[in-house]
Amino acid sequence: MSGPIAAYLDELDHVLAFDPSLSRRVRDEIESHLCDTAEQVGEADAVRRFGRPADIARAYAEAALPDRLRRSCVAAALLGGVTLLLMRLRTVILDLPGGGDPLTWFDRGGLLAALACIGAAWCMASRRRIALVRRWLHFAAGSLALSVGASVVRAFQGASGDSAQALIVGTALVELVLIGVLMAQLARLDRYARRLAA
Amino acid sequence: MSAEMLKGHLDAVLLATIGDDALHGYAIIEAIRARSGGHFDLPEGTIYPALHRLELAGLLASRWVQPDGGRKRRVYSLTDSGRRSLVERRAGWQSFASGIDLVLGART
Repeated sequence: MSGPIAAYLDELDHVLAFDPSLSRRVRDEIESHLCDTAEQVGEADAVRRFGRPADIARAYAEAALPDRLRRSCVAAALLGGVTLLLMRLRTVILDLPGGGDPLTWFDRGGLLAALACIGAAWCMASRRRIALVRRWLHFAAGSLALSVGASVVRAFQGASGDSAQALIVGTALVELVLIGVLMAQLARLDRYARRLAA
Repeated sequence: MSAEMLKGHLDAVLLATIGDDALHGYAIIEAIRARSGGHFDLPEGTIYPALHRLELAGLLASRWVQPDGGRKRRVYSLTDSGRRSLVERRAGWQSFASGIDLVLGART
């Protein structure tokens, strides 16, 4: 396809680049609409009647924002819950001492701080305060990374034997994957924020 | 009615237009235009993000259909939540419109 509709769709792709899956969906749907309209009024008028790609992209970003905020908060809550479970699992199975050493403090303190940050992010998400949600979730991700790191080091210090080390590495990998998922959600949220600010 | 005035009621208009049917975006826009006697000539680009928002809110469901030899289109239908929401919005609108009628009617 070439002509005004193709150029319009390419521009729409460009401005919707902040969410590739949304961009694919929108392109197919709008192409169909523009072709229908073009049969009545021609390609140039079909494109003109549809509106500026930047305005369409902004409207899509606004429409999808509550869902994106909710997904980011769910990812953070999931990560917090799994971290808590795995921390307890390592402590119980490896029979780690619950002393007041700095590693234990970072482990527990980091997790508690992260859970508090996730709670704050959730409250801000219900008010659609995107900048504050991002800030609290970044704090949460940092606190969780600190907690996971301290927990893993603590576990290695108290562990002996291959099975114990396998448990530590396995659980740490799960936590790292979840931190990656959260960071990906945050990166997408950042792209949404940039589109809304544009 | 201007597009600006309609904006606050766009969700209800979309839900009511789809009703019990399964319609694609172009058909929805045409139906709104026809049912309103041409009064609601919405900027076409505003409809699709609104449909997407209603789908994310669980009020609409969508699927791709491609008739034989025809163009592939995404069609929208109301979910159970969407039907309930439409009933509530209709009741809300009727109450609001009655109030406005009373206020405006009192001046004439």
